[in-house]
Parts: sequence; C-alpha cells; structure tokens
Amino acid sequence: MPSASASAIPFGRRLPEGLLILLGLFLIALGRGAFSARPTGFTLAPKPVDAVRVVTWNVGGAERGGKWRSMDDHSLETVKAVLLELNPDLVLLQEIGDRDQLEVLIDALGETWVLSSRLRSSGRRLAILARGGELDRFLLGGAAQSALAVHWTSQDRKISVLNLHADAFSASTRNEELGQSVDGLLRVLNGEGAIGLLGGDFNLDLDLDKRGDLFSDDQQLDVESYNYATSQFEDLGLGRGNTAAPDRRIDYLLLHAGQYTLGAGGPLKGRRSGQMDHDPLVVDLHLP
Amino acid sequence: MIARLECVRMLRSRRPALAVASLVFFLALMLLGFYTYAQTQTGGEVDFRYTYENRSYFNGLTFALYAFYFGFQLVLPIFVAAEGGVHLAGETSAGTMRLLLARPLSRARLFSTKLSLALAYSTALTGGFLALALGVGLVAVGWGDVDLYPGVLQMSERHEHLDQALALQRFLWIWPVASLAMTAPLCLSFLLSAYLRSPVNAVACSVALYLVLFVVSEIHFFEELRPWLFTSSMSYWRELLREEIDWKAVHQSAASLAGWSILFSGLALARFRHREEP
Repeated sequence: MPSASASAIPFGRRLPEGLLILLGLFLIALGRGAFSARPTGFTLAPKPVDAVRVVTWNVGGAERGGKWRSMDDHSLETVKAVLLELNPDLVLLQEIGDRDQLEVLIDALGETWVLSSRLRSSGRRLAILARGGELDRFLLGGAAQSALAVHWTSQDRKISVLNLHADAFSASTRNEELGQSVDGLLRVLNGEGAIGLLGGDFNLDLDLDKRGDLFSDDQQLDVESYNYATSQFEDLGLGRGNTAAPDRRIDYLLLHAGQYTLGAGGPLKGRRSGQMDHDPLVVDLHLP
Repeated sequence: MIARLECVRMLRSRRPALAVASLVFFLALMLLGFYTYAQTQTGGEVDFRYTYENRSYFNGLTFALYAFYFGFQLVLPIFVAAEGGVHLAGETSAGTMRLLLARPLSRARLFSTKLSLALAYSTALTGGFLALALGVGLVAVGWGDVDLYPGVLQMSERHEHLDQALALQRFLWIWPVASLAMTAPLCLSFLLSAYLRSPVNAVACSVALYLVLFVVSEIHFFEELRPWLFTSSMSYWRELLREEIDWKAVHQSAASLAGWSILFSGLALARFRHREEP
C-alpha cells in the first residue's frame, strides 16, 4: 500500500515537475516580447524637400518651491540651439518668460521669421513663430480665448493655427478649453482644402500604457476631450512616444486637412536643460 | 473513477452555485450602473461637456464588454482562486488526503485530476459569465455594433468599429483566450494550496496575492515591473476586439500566461509529491 508520507523520490521521478518548471520558464521568456519597447522618438535628420516641419514645445520648467517656472535664460540658449538644429518652418511655444526671449529666438532663426505671441493670465506667454509669410491673429471666444490663434499665409498656402496650453489641474477646464478650441478652429476653416493645426500642451494623457493615470482628476472626462478633438483632427504624435516627464504624452499636434502625408515625427529626446520637463514634439508634413 | 468522485464532491460543495449567484448579482449591478450612466450622459444633461458619446454607443454588446472586462479582472479570479485554494489544502485540513492516498493512486495522478477538474470549472465559469453578460445585454439593452474609442478601457489607440456579427464572432473567440488567462491565478492558488495546510489561508493568500499583483500591474508607475507579472498579460483577450488583430501580441501573451501556469503547476506538483501528510 502506498505510504501517505512522502518517501525519498529518485531523481528520475522528479523529472516531470522539473520539465514542467523549465517549460514554464521558457514560455514566460517567450512571452516577454509582448511588452514592446517604447518608441524612441524623432531622429534628427535633414528636413525633406517640400516638407513643412512643425514643432510644439513647452519650454518652461517643472514646479519648484510652489512656483511654476517659465523659460529661463539658460533654457533659452538650449531652445535656440535645438530650433536651429531642427530647422523648422512653424514653431508653437508655451511658457515663454517674456517677449525679449522671443526676440532672441527670432534674431537667431533669421530675418525672414515672423512672430505672434500673447500673455496669459498666469504671466507666461504663448508664441507662434513661422518661417516667412504673414501671421494674422484672430480671436476666439469662451474658453478658447486662452489659446493663441493665427492664420499663417505663406507661399500661397494658408494654415490656421491654434497654440493651446490647457489647464494642468482640472479635467473639466481642459474639456472646455480643448472643446471650444476645436469648435472655434473648425468655424474659421472655410472651404475645401482649408488646413487647421491645433497644437500645444493639452495636459492629458490617454496612451495605452496609462491604465491608471495618476495625474488626472477625471480621466473619463479627459477621454471625452481627446475623442472629441480627434473626431475632427488627426493626432500626428500618436504612437510616437512620450513628450513630458516622467513618461507622459501630453503635447499634441492635431491636424485638420483634406490631403496630406505625414513624414517622420515624434518627440526629440535628450534636449532638455535645467528644470525643463518637456521634449519638443516634431513632425514633418507634406501638404498640398 | 477519481475524476467522477472529485466532480461530485465539487458540486456538492456548492462553490459553483455560490460563484454563479455572485456573478449574476455583479451583472445586475453593472446593468443598473450602465443604464443610469447612459441616461445621464446622453439624455441632454451634459451640454457643458464636449463629448463623443451618443445613444447608439451604449448597446448590449458594449454592456457585455464592460461587464466582462471588470468581472474578468476583479470577480472571476476570486472564485477561480478559491476553487484552486481548497483542493489540496482542503483535503489535508479535513484529514481526507491520507484516505485518498491510501488508494492505489499516485500523487501525480491525484494532482493532475484535481487540476484538470479545476481547469474545466474555470473554463466553464468564464464561458458562462461571458454568455450571461451577452444574454443580459441582448435582453435588457439590445445588441448593436461595437465602437471603441481611445482611452475607453485602455483598449485602443484609435477609433475601432466592429459590426454586430463580427463582434459576436470575436466574443466567441474571447472565451478560450480568456479561459487560458484565468489558468494563471488558478495554478497560483494550487501552488499555495500545496504549501499551506489550511484552505482558508490558501484561498486568502491566493486572492490577496492576485489583487496585489493586479494593482501593481495597473498603475503605470510600475511600468518596469509589468513584464514580470502574469496579471499584466491577463487582459490580452481585449486584442481580439480590434479591427485588425495583432496575432503576434496575442500569441506572446498566451505563451507568457501558459508559462506562468505551467511553472506554478510544476512547483505545486513538486511540493505535493514531497510533502508529508499529517
């Protein structure tokens, strides 16, 4: 009769469970591929011929001592160097400290560049810089008035551009700012072929790896805000990597255009300095 | 013979009946929540919001998806872990293990019989819950197409649309795929049941460990840990509700879950074959 107590088991009889354990470890190793590597972002390369290179960048710093930091002079040198390296055509900046910093950037970029900016209630400035052409500012009402809105006309092409820095703390305020910016921009886009670009720091992150986003006071409302915007606009930075510390994708470039081709794009990594907490988001667009 | 005996004992334990009753209660609560949410979100009371939601979005298949998603993550594993936890430790605690082993029956055979029965139970419970969710969705809400939007249940990066027939086919595929996922917590509970002599401790530890691993895998601060936790892969069945299924990702997650299940089973078997019975 077999004993109820475990007897010494010969090595050969331990083989089944040993094989099971080895097989299990092998399959676990095989399955690790399901956790794909993060996108590496934008690789700096010369701008393709006929491409419009667009950059959005929150150039301010992370909070320290209870105060939000706008771009300081040290970061200004970094921003200037990166923009010269990128050779962009259209730049949307958030959290500029003062207008003098913009003059420094314009002087560095070249005399053909034009600029429009506005001071926000936070004391920090939004700016749109463009290579050549004209920038005509227009106003939007309601919550969208916090955005900077311009028509950029260059080489017989007109692009309506909104630079938005949405509220960092309230999903409800973000919802109104983003929703009314979308509505406002769509209202000014008349006729076929009209091109609209909505970019900036929207302060919402819905990427698949954010199963429980700890930065939002109402993630469901952020879901609604994002889906409302992307029902009319194409998210050009989708799947191209995180743009802000620690691992968030909160900077966006949304495009409304009849025909276009999207080239290279993504956040340019490793170019922050000082207290900066965002990477510049870069995309190359081939527009009609 | 031993399989039949184990099956009768499981049914007489009333654990299956308790699990089914709890799942029905969960579905009733989900239905109530779903109905009130759909009413307030699409009934003209949300003009202050910019939203993509509309009445057609909320249908019986969407209800089944939400119900199965949350039930799969938080309700089913508890009953599955409870089933696995009582099998070995329960026999030891009741003093029946010695009687079972007194028969001309190897420990490996007894272990595999109990594990097979628990796997069959887990598969039936998963399929039954899915079928029940679909049935309640059909009767109480009415089916329709499935639309998935970015951020919703973290299932897709872009808007995905499945017409009703395709969505039902995908739900059918979800049954075996989700059942495979459920084997990992089941085998974990078998492992703990092989080490602990009290079924209460084995079940409590299994459920607690599952919940800890689940929470860690859900919070994005622990991103680096995710590849090492079986709970990170368990919801891989959601991939089947995309327009274009990434089969490579499905196969890799299935391999990982099968690996964890086999590893836990191997360790449990090794322990069970060596341990002294009181």
